[in-house]
Amino acid sequence: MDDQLLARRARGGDDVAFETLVRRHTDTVWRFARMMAPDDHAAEEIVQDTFLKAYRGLGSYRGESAITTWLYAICRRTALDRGRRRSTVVVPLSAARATPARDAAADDRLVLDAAIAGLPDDEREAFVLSAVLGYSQEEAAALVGIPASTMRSRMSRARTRLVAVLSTDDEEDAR
Amino acid sequence: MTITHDECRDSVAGGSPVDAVTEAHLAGCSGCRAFAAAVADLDRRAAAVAPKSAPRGLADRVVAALPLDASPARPTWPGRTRAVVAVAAAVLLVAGVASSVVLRNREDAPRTVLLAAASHLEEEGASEVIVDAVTDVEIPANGRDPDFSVAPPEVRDHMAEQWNLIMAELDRRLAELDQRIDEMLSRVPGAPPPPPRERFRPTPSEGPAETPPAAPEAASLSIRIRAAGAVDPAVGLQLEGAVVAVPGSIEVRESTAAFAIDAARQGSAALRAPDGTWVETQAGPGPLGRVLVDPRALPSILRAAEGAVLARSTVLVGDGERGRRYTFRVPASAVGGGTEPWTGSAVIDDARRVRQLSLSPRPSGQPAPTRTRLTVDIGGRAALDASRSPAQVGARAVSDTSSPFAAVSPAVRAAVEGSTR
Repeated sequence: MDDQLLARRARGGDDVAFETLVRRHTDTVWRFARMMAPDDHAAEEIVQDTFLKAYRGLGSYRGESAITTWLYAICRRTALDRGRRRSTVVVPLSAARATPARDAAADDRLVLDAAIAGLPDDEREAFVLSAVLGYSQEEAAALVGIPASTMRSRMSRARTRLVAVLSTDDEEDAR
Repeated sequence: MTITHDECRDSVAGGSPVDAVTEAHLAGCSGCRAFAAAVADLDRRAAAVAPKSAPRGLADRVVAALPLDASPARPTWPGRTRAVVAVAAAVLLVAGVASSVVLRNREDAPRTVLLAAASHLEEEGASEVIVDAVTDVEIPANGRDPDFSVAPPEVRDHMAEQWNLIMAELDRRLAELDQRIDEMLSRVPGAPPPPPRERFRPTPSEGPAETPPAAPEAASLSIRIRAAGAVDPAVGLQLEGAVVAVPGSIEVRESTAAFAIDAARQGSAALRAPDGTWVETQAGPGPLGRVLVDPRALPSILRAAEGAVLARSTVLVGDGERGRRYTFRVPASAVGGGTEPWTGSAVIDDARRVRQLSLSPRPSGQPAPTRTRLTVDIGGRAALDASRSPAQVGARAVSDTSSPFAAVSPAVRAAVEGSTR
């Protein structure tokens, strides 16, 4: 059964249909939420909030876009709102200057995660969608609701910034 | 036609196909070639950090947290239909006819189904009951124990007991972290001896005992401790902590501690029958806030169901059997918890056996709190060497004072504070 039919049924009160949508798209929403959140716990809360809002907003979903696009838009707003509300001061990992680690792969991930987390919201979103999650720039632009040219500009700024940050880290490590 | 370095790099970083002009520039510019290689390397690393599948059980938790009866699109039960069907079904029951008809569609009277299930249970007397007693408990910032009086009385002691177990485990883990920090500090030339450790939860009268060390002079040290924890009713408390030390002249060490504390313990609960007597409960294994209760309490609970009982969905109850999930309200007098009605959910199969029953003190439609977050974040950069840049002397400790864990790691705080004087 396709998403649109499930959504129509869910809108009509069929909870099993909505459960099916949740189970079908949890992984997709999770992957994006995890990249936008500081840790697994925050990402899980974003996923939960996303589906809760989707459930409450079923009446406003008219099927004009794909379910994934609709869910993504909700998840994006949720993640950004949550980011603005964060009050705990977190010292950037790059400030600790990562050191030779026993697990090089895990260390590389930590460094890159910290660098991505340090990007402005719009650039982080562009980079996560295209470079991490593998959407084409056109798809990413459609998901965010911006022109492809804007997405391209954001990607360019994000990549340039990340290359600069990571090369600085590498130089410091080498010293 | 030529392009500038910036134009070339913008083209490469923007992901546009490399045209002839850009290609020509790259061929003659080692700096831009290096940049292009760095972008390619970045993309390769980025693809490798993509999160994999969602955590196991996340979809189940999402579904469980949905207030399925709160949607504005949800059909409601017309009172008249409910009443008519209830009377008809009651007649069937009086006549002793097994009312399987009642279960065939959503137009039936769920309350009658619950009553039928209650009668059936009295005969067969076996089913699982889960009391979902998740409660928000404020964690005070002064290191004192949370006030569990807001929790339902049936699980208050249970939650307090879990809290103590968790704190004891936390003490043990934090002592391990302290030990690692001490090991690192011991490698710093001229570093002070570690100050005496305080217990994780100091008694209010004593307060944290801190002995500021003398400022060391010949090393650079950056230490960061970050821990984020969550009390998740499904799995207990999880805490992840990381200690990162970047000393300038000592061996580099990194340590990451990640652990989960299984809070599944023996649980107990009590249910009060409509006649005011307490039904003796059964202790059984279950995670925090979820306890098994005596199946003999089931008929009392189902009979006490009141208000708008709603057939919500058809569910599979195992081996291809189908059942219906109902939600209903139970008066507080039936469960002994507070003054507001509890929300119940029952899955009843076609043979009128109750396959699952859950009760919650939450009002219907209120999302279940999934966790109480605990956050510890103590970060510091201590430049203990005067030859280092002034920027590194701006050490500061960042702590989340809303958490009792702010009292953790006196060694780190002492090192940081000592360097700022």
